[in-house]
Amino acid sequence: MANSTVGLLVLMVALLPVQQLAACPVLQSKLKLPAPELPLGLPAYARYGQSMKAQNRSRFFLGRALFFEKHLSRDLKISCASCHIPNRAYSDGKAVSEGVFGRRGTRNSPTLLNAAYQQSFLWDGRAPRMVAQIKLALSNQREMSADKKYIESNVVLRRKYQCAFRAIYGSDMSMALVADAIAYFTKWLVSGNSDFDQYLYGGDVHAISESAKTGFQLFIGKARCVICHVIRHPNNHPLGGQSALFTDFRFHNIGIGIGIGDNRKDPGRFAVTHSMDDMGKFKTPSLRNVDRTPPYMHDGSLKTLFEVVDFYNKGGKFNTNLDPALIPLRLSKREKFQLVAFLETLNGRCTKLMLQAGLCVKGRSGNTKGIGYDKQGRKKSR
Amino acid sequence: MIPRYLLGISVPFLLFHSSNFAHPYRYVDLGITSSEVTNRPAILIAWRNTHKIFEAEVQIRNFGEREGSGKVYMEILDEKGDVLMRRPEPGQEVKVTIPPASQGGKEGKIVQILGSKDANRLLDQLDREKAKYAIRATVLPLQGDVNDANNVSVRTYNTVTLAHASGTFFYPYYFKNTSSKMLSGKLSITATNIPKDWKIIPETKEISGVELKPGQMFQGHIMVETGTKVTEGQFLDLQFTLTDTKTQNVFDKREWYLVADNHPPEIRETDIDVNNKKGEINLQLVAHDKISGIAEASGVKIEYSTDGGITFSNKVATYIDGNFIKPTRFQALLGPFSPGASIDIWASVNDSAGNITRRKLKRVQFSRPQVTLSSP
Repeated sequence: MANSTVGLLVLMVALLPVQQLAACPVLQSKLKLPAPELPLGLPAYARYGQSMKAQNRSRFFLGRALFFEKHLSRDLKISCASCHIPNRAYSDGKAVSEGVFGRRGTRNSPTLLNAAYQQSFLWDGRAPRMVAQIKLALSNQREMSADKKYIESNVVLRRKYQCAFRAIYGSDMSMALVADAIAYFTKWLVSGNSDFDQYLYGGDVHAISESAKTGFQLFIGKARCVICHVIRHPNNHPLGGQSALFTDFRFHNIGIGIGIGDNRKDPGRFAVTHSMDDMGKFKTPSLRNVDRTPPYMHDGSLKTLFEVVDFYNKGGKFNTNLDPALIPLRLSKREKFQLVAFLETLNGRCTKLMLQAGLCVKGRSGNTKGIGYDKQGRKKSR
Repeated sequence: MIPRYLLGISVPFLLFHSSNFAHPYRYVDLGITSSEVTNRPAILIAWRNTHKIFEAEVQIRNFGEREGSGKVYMEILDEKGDVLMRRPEPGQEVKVTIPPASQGGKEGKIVQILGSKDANRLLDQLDREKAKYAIRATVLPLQGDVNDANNVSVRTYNTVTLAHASGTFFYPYYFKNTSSKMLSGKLSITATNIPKDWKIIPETKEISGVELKPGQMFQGHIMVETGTKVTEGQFLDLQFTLTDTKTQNVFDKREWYLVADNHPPEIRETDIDVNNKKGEINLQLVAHDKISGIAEASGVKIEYSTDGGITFSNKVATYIDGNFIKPTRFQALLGPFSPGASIDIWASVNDSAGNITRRKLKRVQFSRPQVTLSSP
């Protein structure tokens, strides 16, 4: 008798979180999420520890709900998704982002796709982890302006989410847990299996156009983009590899925002390290989905990919700390177009999970084999 | 005494307990193995940074079933095993976390260890003097490791590596006890697949009872005899591992790579851009060596003469992209030169086996500024 009573007790304790999870409205999604997949061209390590077991599934749905939650901002108008719009590859299409009460930020909103692979966050690498970056975004006066006290005492937020936090984390809602849930959700936003991945890793020689192939040769050759936008493949790297994140995770001064004639000076990485060597340096962004995330550079000052290529072709913008890799490239106009054609092949396809969860619009995954710019460097309409 | 009512759940609980807490890291196995491209240790000298400062890249893998973390550092050793330089400084090692083997651990991560200008100078000097040296990479597991044998890896440079038919090749190896304690060790010699008709002398695979006082050195040698015929591309990679028998940790390692490669490297394309205004020459070239690969570090040099080809200076070209076996791109910036200077430019490319290709690329004539005389 005693045995069976204790056994029942143990079973009840074990099932308690599952029961609680089911009782929270925000977690009551009927969506069946498929098993996680690893898109072609992405390294496996960021997927580690992520499976869609009950607890993780709930954390995912909580994170998703919070990602779109406008009550997390002081004016109730801004959510994470305001600056990281799913239809815009999780960027916002503006030069610099707009936060609460119409306050303009100072930097361009980067894509969240593949953020799981980042080694530091924000353009100057100020946040060592994603959770830290989310806390900064929540509390920044120009972004969501919601401090710890605001989040923990907000009645609407408590009513909607308290139950979920207690069920998942066994604790009341706090800024740290909000950031954790959003970070967990964000890690699922991956994008690979682009036309270029099909070409390089999938062995499909017809996956990209001839001009894009030439653009790729320029990328790893004459234009030397690959020095910072790293590709791992047995042909490109002595240690081999089957993935490309198109970043070296380092910081470089290319002259934007610090060069002669710039009105808005931004010290970049210097603000973090206080080392003059880091003056005007910003993190190398990944190039995946770059075609879908204009405008470009940390201040959004370049509107098209053609302008970006043209900028590098001129050797960047002179300043005393300009990266030595930046020298005039002598690319012809045709070569610039070919380089752009290659960059357009980096648009990833949606994962099944992202499609199922409504986080990716089918058809927007990109299948751009041709040149998307006219001869004047203007974007062609599709 | 376990209460009776707990008996029903105690067995699975204890099983869980023993596998998760008593030996929490029994399934972590961090290691540095070999490159999938070259079959040599997965250590690489490259300048994959825009400032072109030497850096070593090391591939760390995890063959265990659990996530493992470790600290990575590398050392530049001389032939005798003395440490000439260590990067990063002690206490600043690069921390790396690798997921379990089945979830990306086998693929591993490449750890970049940025050198310094001093490290650059040191390697440049060693290469210019053709001195034998080695890069030793170590991953120190933070939680314990089921297999300590693969935590240290060494790749040697400037050793004799070119094998030909009916040859006898000799490699002396040295191990020095650089610690302050007595070392009791065991030396094991392992080899990749030995090519047919190649013979390793002596055939000993293990030498036990190596006792070294602090500062004392152990010296040995090994010979390889090749057959009457060798096929281009046949190679042998020998690893000499001295293990501390008290701790079972690898104390030190050496590597000897021997390859039948009688094809000199090829220079495929060059692109020379002359900046008359600055007096600079920006040069890119693509080279490849399909058997032993272009030598890392100083494998590609741009030689230039300012006296019509009588004497030459050289500049090491730095790596941009490629795998050293297939077409690989390098770059160099020469100058500034004075107006009117005439520069003969040659490229010199050597492979890991020691074959060299030299080729004249171009004569660059810088223009003199036009002097206009104005009447008084």
